[in-house]
Amino acid sequence: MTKAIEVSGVSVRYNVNGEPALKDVSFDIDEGEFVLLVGRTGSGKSTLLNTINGVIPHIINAQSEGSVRVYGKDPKTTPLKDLSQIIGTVYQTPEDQIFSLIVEDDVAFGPENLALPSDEIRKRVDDAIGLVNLQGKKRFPTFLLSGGQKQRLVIADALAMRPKIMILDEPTSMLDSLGTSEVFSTLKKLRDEYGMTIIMAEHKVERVLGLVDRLILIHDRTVAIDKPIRQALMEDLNSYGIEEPQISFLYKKIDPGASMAPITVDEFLEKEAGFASFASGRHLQVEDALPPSGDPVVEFKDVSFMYEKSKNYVLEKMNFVIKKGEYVSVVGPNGSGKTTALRLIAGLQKPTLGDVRLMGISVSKIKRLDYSSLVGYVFQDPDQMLFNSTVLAEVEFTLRLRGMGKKEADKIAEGVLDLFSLRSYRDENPHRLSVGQRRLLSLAAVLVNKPKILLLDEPTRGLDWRTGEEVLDFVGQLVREQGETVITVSHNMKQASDHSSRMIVFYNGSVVADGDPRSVFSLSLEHPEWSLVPPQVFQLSARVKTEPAAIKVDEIEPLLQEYRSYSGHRTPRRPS
Amino acid sequence: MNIALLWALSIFLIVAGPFLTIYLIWKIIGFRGYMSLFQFVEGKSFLYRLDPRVKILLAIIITTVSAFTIWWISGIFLIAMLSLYFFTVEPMSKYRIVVPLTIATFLGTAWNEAFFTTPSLLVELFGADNFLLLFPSQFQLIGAYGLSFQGFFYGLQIAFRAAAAITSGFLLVFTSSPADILRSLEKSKVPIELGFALIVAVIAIPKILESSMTILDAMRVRGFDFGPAKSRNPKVLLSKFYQQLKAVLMATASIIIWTLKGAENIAISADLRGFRASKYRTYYREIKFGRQDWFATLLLILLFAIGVYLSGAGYGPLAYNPRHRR
Repeated sequence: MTKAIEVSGVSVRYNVNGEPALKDVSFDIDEGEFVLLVGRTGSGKSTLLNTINGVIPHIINAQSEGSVRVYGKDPKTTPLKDLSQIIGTVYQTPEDQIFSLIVEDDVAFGPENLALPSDEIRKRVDDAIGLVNLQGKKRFPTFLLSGGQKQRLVIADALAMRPKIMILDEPTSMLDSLGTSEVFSTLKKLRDEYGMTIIMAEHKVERVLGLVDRLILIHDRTVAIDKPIRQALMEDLNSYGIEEPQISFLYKKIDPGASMAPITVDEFLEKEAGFASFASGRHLQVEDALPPSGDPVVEFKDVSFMYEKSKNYVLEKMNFVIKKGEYVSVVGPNGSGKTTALRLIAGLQKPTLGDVRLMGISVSKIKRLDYSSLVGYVFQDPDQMLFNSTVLAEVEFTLRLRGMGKKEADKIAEGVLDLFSLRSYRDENPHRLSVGQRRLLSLAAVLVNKPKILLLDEPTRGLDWRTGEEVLDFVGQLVREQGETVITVSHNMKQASDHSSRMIVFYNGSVVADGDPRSVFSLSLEHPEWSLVPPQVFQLSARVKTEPAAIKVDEIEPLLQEYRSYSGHRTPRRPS
Repeated sequence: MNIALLWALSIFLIVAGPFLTIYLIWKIIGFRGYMSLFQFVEGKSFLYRLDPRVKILLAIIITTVSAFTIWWISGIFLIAMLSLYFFTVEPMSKYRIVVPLTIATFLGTAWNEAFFTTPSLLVELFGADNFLLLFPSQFQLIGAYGLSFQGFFYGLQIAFRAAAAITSGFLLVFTSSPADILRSLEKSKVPIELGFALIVAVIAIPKILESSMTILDAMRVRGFDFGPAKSRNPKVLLSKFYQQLKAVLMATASIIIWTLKGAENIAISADLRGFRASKYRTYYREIKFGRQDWFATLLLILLFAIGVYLSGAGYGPLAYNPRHRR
């Protein structure tokens, strides 16, 4: 097998005397392999990818030791323009990688730079656009594309250079759920039909399972796990802060010594043929949240909304009531009106028809400054909420607006920063913090006002799994201990069912389902158009017909333990 | 007149002009209209077949000839340019953007010229300066004198020149794709770096506008009230104004930070696609200077010559005075 990439003993330092960003990393990648690179934010994944594609040291200055070979070539000494014809690179933010107003012009940019003949450029543009399925958008303005389309365009841009290897650094962290699937299916095509070698850094392990061959885990700046995907899933990935797919996690409960983990429900049932009949009809101990009993906090009464100069309703005759202390997940396909509903609650938009009431008062009667102690709204992109020059000033912003004195505000803000372990950064510029810290800061800046209702729009987007869980645990604590009411928009069904007590499904601007996660998932099985994919544990549980179906791993775990001792064959084998 | 009232009126008149113009453009064209400026749609008429360089030349010649000839020649240009829009794809949608822009340019330019033309020039041009309102003398430090009938009239005439220049410029934007403009500039030996910088800037604008909207929302969500103050107490009004100014500055600072952050990534991905890798580039679409391009160029040179002749023959850039023809 030809080696596409050989990395041996690589260490990288950005600062001669500083800590290394990578320590003694070694691995080879065969031609045609699809490698998933995982690790927490700041573990060194991006440094590694930039060392392979030559951005280090050609553009970013860093000291590196050890050797990297890309099809035999040393990226350190090979000019970037030659490297870019071997390796195509795609980064997180599509907008930073698009330089033209028209799709086809953007794809032509690379080949034009290489001074290829016009015929060749045209051929490459057509091929690349076809590969990412943007044929219909060839002469379309780039800034009107959706997030997923933009990132596919960026992939086409790289493909027009005719590389043999694609490197992708968290290509979906800025995309919604639909955009994410678009990018993944494009990559699948590249791999299956063109045998492209691909390395992708990505947090969403469960979503790329059918795609990748191998997993490399970077922990503490070096390779901690490097195994074929099914074997890698038998490792304790959670302890490294990486999300484990529920199916392999559950399988490990039955057969911890097995060498390979199943990745789908079907594979699970195939491997454990006896489980279906064992579990069928069995009663599970589950605790469903009691129906809310508090006072109504948010009420939508026949609310319809359309944008000015538009003819279509984004929300149509929407009705629901959310009570004090509820933790509600709003789910549904893109464009179903989820964010619009949050904006109505936050008073950023006014309903066209109907009435939105907060604590019984119509939103149109609430003053802006009073709003901030009533509703805290954390946007999808935390960066867009940070506009002060220091972390402390960011948290104090609203307090100071209310006319609170500097000393008092300092004291309260510092207390909140302590809560989020951000106190040592109080005088830093918010934009210098890590992604996770910026997310926490945006939450801190909102919570300092003690809002009664907390609105979170995809609160874990772009975060690694552990950091995301920490944020959600914190929010959960607020609900339990302070009776906070939380409404979150989410695309992650596992998070929705693990953390929230109620799910509201939006579809085409209307509420189509509303209840506890278990009943909503059951309903969703009959409604594929909602594009809700229940967590794997629910899928498994519903397939084998437990009573009721489990939505959390710990609900079904006792049954698996019982099955393990019952079937008897599970004396731990030696790991292969 | 009460001196405080005079000051207030003077400030209002001077500040209102530019703001009113921007507000009008924004209100009439709106975000979508602005975006559509960059939404090039391909067409089949001769306008689209012309080399972008010819259209750049057109804009340059119209602008210069307007500058050194009498105002009604710019008026003719304006009508000519507006009729050329008829040959674009969906001319109505183009007029919807260009006409308000022209009107706004007219009002804005006339308004400002009315205040900022020196009385001595007005006397020279019109033989009189009938001021309806004289600003306090301190305003002369910034070159503002007052509102006069002649000044406004002079402003209108200048406005014709500005409007002709603007409409000829938009003709280029509407009928050539930006990438083609870039390519043709490169062929004329304009450094690629410059063209690239221009294009990246144009693309960044919609993104920056969108981010600005979001950040203002973020401020509102955190208690900032952008609404008008509900008080007539000047102290309250002033502190409100100060707060709003501060908020806008804060938002601007953040937007600059993101933009700079993005710029570094843009540089990396451009280099990864071979930017400046070779001494020369080739082109996705070949741009050739054809027969009709030569023909159009010839016409433009002729137009320029006529302009020079007219200017010499007494139709120079001097203002037209209905009563006092010089």
